[in-house]
Amino acid sequence: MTQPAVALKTAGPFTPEQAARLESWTRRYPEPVMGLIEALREIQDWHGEVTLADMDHAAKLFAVTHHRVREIVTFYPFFSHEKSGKFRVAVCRNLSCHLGGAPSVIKRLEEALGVPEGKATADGLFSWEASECLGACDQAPAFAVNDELLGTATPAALDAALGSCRSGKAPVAPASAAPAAPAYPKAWLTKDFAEPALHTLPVFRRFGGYNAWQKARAMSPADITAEVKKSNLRGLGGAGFPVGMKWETVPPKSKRDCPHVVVANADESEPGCFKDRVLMERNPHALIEGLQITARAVDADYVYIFLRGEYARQKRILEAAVAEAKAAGLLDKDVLVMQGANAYISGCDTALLETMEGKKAWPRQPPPFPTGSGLMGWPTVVNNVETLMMVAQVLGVGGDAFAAAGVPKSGGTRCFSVSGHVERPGVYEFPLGTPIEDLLAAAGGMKGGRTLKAVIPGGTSTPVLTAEEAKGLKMDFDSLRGKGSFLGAGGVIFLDDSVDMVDVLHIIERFLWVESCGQCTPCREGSGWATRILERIKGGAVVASDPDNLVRLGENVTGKVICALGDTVGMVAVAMVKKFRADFERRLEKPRG
Amino acid sequence: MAKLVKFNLDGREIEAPEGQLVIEAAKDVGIEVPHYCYHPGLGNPGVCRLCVCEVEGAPKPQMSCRTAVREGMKVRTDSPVARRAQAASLEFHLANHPLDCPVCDQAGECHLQDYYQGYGLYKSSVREDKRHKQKRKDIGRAVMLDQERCIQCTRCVRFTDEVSKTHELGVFGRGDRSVLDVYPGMRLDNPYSGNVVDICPVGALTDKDFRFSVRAWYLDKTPSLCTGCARVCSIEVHTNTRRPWHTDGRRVARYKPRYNTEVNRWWICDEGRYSYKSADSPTRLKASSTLGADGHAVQVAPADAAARLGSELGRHISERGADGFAFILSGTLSCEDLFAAKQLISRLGVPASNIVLAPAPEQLGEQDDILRRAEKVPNLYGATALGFDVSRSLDRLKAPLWGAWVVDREAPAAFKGLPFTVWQGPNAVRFTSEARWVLAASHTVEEKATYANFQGRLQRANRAVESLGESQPDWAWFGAVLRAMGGDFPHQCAGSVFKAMSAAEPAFHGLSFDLPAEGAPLVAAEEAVR
Repeated sequence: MTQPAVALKTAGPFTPEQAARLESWTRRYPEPVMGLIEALREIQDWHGEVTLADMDHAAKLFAVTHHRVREIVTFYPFFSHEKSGKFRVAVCRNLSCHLGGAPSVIKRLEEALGVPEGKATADGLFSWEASECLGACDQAPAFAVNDELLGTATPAALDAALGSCRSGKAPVAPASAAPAAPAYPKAWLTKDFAEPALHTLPVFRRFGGYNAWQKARAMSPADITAEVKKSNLRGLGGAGFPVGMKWETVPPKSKRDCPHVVVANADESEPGCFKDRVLMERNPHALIEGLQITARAVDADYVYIFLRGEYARQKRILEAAVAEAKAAGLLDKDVLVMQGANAYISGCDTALLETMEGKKAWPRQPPPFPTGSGLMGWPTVVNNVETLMMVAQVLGVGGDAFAAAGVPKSGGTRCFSVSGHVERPGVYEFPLGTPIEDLLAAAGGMKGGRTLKAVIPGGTSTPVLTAEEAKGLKMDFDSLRGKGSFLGAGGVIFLDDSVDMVDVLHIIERFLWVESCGQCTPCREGSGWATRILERIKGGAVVASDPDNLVRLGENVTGKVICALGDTVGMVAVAMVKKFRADFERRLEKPRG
Repeated sequence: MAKLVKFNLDGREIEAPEGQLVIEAAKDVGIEVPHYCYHPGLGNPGVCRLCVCEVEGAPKPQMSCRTAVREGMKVRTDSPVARRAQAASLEFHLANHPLDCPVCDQAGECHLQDYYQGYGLYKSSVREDKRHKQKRKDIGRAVMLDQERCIQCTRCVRFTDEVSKTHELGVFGRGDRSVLDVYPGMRLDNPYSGNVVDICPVGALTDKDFRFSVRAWYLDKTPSLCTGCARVCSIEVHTNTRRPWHTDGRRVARYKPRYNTEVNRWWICDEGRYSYKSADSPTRLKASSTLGADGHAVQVAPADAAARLGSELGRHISERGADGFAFILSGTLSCEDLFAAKQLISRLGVPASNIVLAPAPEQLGEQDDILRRAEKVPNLYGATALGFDVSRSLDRLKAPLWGAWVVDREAPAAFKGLPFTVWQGPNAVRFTSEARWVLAASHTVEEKATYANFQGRLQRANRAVESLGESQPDWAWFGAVLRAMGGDFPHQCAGSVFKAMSAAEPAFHGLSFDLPAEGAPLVAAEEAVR
């Protein structure tokens, strides 16, 4: 699939067709450089790596400096610096998948392929990696081949996938299976999920799809925003910022005469969260509808879905849905799906904008906020996938009715990703403020009837809660804050009493260390240091000062860093050590001998 | 000028322009806020998280480099919270730093060391192994990179992006695996590459020329000027006279840029930076000499030389007339030198058409829109201000000559046969050995002197080391010969020459030899010349 070495030397690294394809990326977006990362993705796919000659070509094509291209290629894990296999097998090693048995799958895979992580097999067919969260905690331990999520890595599934690769065919996930009926009878987003073809336009419309958009089309932008404000809809990507209030900070064109932008943040990568993936698979038109409404509210010229790099199948589904909607004349603004290159930090709104601008994802430090100066300096609204889908619900049921479904200051329902030690991991939609017990019951209760030890309430970036703290806990932004944690993106991980919290913290800190962008010092150094301390503790070389040192380290990071990832490095360590100190001190009793 | 606002900084009521960064306002009143990534010439990315301050009303600590001054705000950079955060930031900076200070050239002028002394924890809790990266990477003509020592403040990357605009450097990779590096196949060979060493707060980028020569704490520092081109950058001359064996007897160890908002801001070019070598070069003349009867040079003491030269010159002039004698002066001469030369020329009656001061071809070079000027001599502006015609080139000398006095430049081959020639300067050139008289002159680092750069800004160089051997300033030579020939030149020091010059020369009226650090513009220089 790659060019012969001779061609590399004489005719440049690309076929004429490939060169033309790369050139087309310079024309896809309003600024050529916005196509840079996706062009590099194509090169990676063609060559199995991005060579210096490739970087040289890209730098010239996109009129950027060489070091910027290399910064991108060395920053984003999608790109490899030595040739990867034709089929890249990834097994998720993050928390839920770890609990689901990832370590043994990884061992199996390594034995089956006979090469260490990151190295291609002799025939060039395979390489593998133990990856960070793949966004499929409901299918733990999840695996993917060439970014195609293939579900649970059972021995049979893994063998089947490898077999398919050996026969030269990249395995493709089956069309989405209909998930179980929603647990909550008043669910909005997931109410029609039992319908297998919901992702197609006719079915979506049969269930009332795009009615909210037709309604919004007849409304003034100010009225749309007013309705959203009334709904008390808050950002469901993690920050919980009131949506209407965010939109209001976008300057009108009379004040900022330049393009305005709406971006759906579909870079879901928080370990424990997979609801955006499921929502986009099952209900892509709901996102497109929400985007059209939002674009109208803020007078946007460009509308993007920034999709995490590993969601290959979701990209196909979304693009098909966009094409359908476009053909049906439903789009006032075209919607482009843009892919990142597999960096967790790209999910942070300002880092996401950097990625979209063809740079490494180093978060910006507001002010200015993206609504004032975002993509390319243009006013930009970045909202989470689920939030945008809820915008359509707000218009559909009306702001007041939406608000009534939640708690004061936080209206409506939200989709919780439930995983860990539960019987039926999955996405469950409940009104905000629902007691956590209802979530657990919906997910079938604790696996094997074991005892609950702890809950990570909003994805692994949120401080852990003890079973005691979780008792009767209302799942909404403000209640969680009251417990010293966060609702985050709603990724709830239940942990039973078999779990050692040293392992859990190690997995979380290792993830943050791998994903830390390295821009600011406390996070760059603190995440690695914490990881190494935890590795040492796991290895038995624990010292009495370790628990206190982890707390001190954590407190020194939180609040002194640029973005929320950095804050997380500290917060999770502090909470874990303080609340489960016994798990750390137990190690002291059995010193390395 | 922005509106002045009052605010409280570390318990002091101070006034600063509204919107000024706290870190700058603090510096202006003598409060140091430790910092790595912030550099006033390179923007404020706020990545090192060291310059922590507490702002009343803010929910969490702020960075002094990203907080603008507002009326009535209360800021503390010395509160327990701020100090603890600064200490914590330093601990993180050191978590992967190799601490190889004993073999690091930056030791003694390292901001990791300095700040740790001032603000650190003094107690290491790091039990973990450190990350290893490349220790010695030759990345350019002037610079050696140690990736382990790098704290990723990105100053150097911003310098190559924003100032030199050459884009050789980047931070490649992610998280604590990222490294500072040059783009593969590129070299950090831009004309300003040495500046990345100056702005590197640690020992990650060291100067190959200075590396392993002398410890920073043995150096004496003298504010002075680089006279390598018409920009005349403000510099510090770093001299090593306490441990001469460390630099093989070289007294001048290096030049470093000195901030001058009017001239060079924080930077100097590599050409200027390494021009210090001429001060201790083997070409330096330590003594004056004259050609003996057998055609060999004979050393002559300075006082003798002036007397004998004066009498010979007087005889030639009375015999052949002053019309046959020329002065080939150089723009490397200071204002004091040129003022003294002017007195001598006037005494001798040499016609203006026989005075050449235009730069020689070898004194022209590259120019850019950063600092470098094509004119590689510093003081043409000063010469103009003193009434010299700097446009007359050597090949326009018309009169048949019997003699010439050439200063600090090459002379045409035709001068070789002239009956009476004088060559004066610090470093010998080809013509030096042909001249009847050779007068050893001081180097710029050896004398107080003023130079007016191409903008007309007059700045002063200072004496960093004593004049080598029997060399003496050019003005002293002109003055001594003038006195020997019966003229009046009472000055014993450059300050005295300057005083006379400022009285006599309109362009220098009202100026004092004690110029401000950034210099001062010559008084209506252009009008004074006309």
